[in-house]
Amino acid sequence: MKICITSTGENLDSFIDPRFGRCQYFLIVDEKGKLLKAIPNQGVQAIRGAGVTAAQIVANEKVEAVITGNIGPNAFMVLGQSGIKIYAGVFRVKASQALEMFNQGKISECRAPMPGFGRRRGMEGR
Amino acid sequence: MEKIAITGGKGGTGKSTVAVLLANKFVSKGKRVVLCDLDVECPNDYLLLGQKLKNRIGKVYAEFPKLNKTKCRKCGLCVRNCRSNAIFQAPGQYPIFIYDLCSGCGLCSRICPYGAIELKKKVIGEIYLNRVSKDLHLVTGAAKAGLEETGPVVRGVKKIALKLARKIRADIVLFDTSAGIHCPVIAALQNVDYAYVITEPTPLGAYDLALILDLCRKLSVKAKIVLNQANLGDKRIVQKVLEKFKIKKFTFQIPYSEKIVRAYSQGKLLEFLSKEF
Amino acid sequence: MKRKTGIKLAVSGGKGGVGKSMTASALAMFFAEKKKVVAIDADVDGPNLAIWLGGVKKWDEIEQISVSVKPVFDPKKCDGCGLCAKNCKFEAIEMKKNRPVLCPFLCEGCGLCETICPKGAIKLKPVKSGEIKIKKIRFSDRRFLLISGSLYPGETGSGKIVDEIKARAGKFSSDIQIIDSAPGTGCPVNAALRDVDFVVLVTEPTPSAISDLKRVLEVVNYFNLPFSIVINKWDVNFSLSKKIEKEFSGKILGKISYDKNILNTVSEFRPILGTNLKAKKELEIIYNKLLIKLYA
Repeated sequence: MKICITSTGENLDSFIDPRFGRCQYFLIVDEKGKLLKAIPNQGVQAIRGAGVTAAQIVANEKVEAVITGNIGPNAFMVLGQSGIKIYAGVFRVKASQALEMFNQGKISECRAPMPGFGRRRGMEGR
Repeated sequence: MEKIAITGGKGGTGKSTVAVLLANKFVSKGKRVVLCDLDVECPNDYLLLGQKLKNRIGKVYAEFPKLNKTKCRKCGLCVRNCRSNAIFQAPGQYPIFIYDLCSGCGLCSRICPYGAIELKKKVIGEIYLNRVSKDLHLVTGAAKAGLEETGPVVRGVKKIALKLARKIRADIVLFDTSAGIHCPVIAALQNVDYAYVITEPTPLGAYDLALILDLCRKLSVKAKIVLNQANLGDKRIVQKVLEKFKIKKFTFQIPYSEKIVRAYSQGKLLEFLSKEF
Repeated sequence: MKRKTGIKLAVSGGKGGVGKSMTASALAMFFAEKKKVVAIDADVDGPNLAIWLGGVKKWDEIEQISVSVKPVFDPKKCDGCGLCAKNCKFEAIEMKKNRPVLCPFLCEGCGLCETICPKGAIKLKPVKSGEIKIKKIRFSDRRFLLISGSLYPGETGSGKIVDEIKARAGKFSSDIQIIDSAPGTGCPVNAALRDVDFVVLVTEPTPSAISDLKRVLEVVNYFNLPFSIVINKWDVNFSLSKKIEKEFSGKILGKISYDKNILNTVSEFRPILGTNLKAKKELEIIYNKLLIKLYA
């Protein structure tokens, strides 16, 4: 099974990049943790639709799951409809740690998009 | 039948107030008027006239692609040709359309070799009619909230308003445009006989006036300038702009009046106007 | 709010002329006292923020940008078949004397004509859409950056210009970005509000402004954004002001009194913070409340 982790650098020692559409790199790994590819994200320059462009890059690699921080509604929709599982909400860990957490079943699959930097509706009460 | 636009570039200069004033004035002179509110993002004329939007007389549609999976061969031609990157296709799967990014151009439908993409109509706006009086009809366009491209809604509402105006043999059609100079304003200003451009005697008014006058010139629309709140601020800064566009004078000036401000804020503008003018 | 830097705050409201730019300019100046601020004028149809900030005589940088394309017809290859005009969904191409003529004001740059022309006689070429201007603003001991975008009259793509300005602003590090958005709810407003962290909605106690506020709230809620409301010119209509306060109880950030002198002040290119007007104190109260909301 191939997995994609959004990353700030080219190897598994880099920190996870919390943005799906505008991440620096897509790290493609197998379930054993072997790094197969590090794809620089050319879609990062896109003014709009970066999420969908990113999703297309990821889908072309025939991955089965994506591990990331935040993912917007468009990318969430197309990946979901393509059968690619989304594990979002992962922040401030290295790519290798994120993979470990995933293999240990510590990250749950996303039921809804998670746009923005952990923005939640409850905030206006403060 | 005369077609007159009321525009201004800067928001809040008093376009809708002047539009209602003018409509009232023309009716009092025996003309039959259709006032068409083309500020489809935030229509206000009906509020100034104390009306409610209950009588819907039409809808505006745009076409969006829908995939017919039985005909689709997953060739990916549509994906490669979409200029908006609005079509996604995972390898070996059916293409998925992302409406958020779709411009409605219909290119995908046109080039699909298997006729697998149909264009389906979606409602992007609604049109309401209010018979304010025997000789004043109000046509209001309202875009679906949050719609990004509102130019097509303006065009759709204009068509219906002109059709109605011809049917009732209106003398004058007034088009109240939205603020700004972008697509919905361009759509509103096209093919009118002339436009009243509402401005105010401030650097804000002057800056935006130059832009809207430039737009009017590009669209070959003659501009008549109305100066609102004329006794405040500094008129000269606006006059400098008029000189640049070789416009000699203000067509009319409206002084600041606290009475008008209060009547407007209470939604009693028409009552006030019928008493004062 | 978890983040302390890179906060994006948009000022919107729906109705034009209610005081968005006045509020945005004042907030930018207040925040600049202790934070690194980037002020963004995303009202690209009529960018006025510079005027509220004291006027800009010479910009540090001016860049022309292109966000749309238009077809160019090659007369040598064109055989007058008219397929382009017949298929244009936006009725932007007319056949005149057997040759295609473009109405640029209707063209959306979709590229259908280029793709279907059997002679390859149509090529889409980028057009000059507008400008991005940058200026370092100085006000007493405060310094901050102003990034202003403008659309050339007659061009399309105001939303895309806003996207470009935001991308440009992202290249500068900041504690907070203050984005002055356009009136209305269309594409420049969608582009301004998309992916911000907080929205300040400015309104006034008139039926029109309240109606417009509710329209823009649909966009705010679509993007799931936290917001607060400022009632400008609140004393023009006490009962409507009370109605707004009641309907949006818990969301009112503050009130600003109506003052004819503000019009005269801006005519002199004087920022509100450089005056002794009542509005300055009222805006300061609003700023302080915002500080708590954003950073506490």
